Amino acid sequence: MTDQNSDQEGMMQPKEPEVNARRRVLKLGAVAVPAIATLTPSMAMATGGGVGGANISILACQVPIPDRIDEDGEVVPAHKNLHYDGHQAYYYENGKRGKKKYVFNAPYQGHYSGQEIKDGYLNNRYIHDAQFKAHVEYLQKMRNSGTGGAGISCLMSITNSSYKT
Amino acid sequence: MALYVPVEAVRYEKLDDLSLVFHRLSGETHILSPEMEAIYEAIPAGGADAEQILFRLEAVHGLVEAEEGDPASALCLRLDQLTELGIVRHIS
Repeated sequence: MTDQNSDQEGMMQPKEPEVNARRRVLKLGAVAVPAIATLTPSMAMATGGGVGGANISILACQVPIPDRIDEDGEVVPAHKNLHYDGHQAYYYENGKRGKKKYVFNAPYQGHYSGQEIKDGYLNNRYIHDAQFKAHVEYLQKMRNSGTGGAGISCLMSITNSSYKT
Repeated sequence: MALYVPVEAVRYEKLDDLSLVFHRLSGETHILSPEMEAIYEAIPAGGADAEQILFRLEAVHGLVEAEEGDPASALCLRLDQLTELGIVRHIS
């Protein structure tokens, strides 16, 4: 009987408190206080354990790069025909009178390792390697676009610590 | 007008006191603080600018305060953090 009574009491309770609880003050904290914690797959894959393990796996992770990236880091649309200037491919951005832009293929394995990107940034490889420069432009676009992509967590973990634009 | 739009390729899970956002493309899982959760939930699927998002937050919470500066600029900084993680897109 006691149970029944308390059930009834429960049912009699008005819904007001729930609504009030929802309408609480929202306090936006100071910017320096982190509001998000991120778990990256590279952390999950670390085999060495601890921070050292995470570092190793960050440098071994892969950032895939598609074929047909132009010198500004844009992916060349599939319908654009490529022309050749010696061995170097190029295309016209807006028809024959448009801007001539050089096109680069993916790196030899279709991806860069974290280590390659880190070394490339540190050695300023993009200054003398036009293909790498185009790929760096592409990576920056991918990183800033917010749309994500395979390998972006790998890229973020390297570029956040060693390279800023 | 700059719009903030939630990215579709995420899985959003609310636990008791914790909200998790799994970003399918990067494989990253983000743990949102309660304030970030409120902001993230206030962004409509069709997108909204910071002013509209603040209005929506006020509709749910009644009062939005900031520890530093005014709520509007504090909100913008939080929205930028969400954008940086790739779970919100910024269209200008």
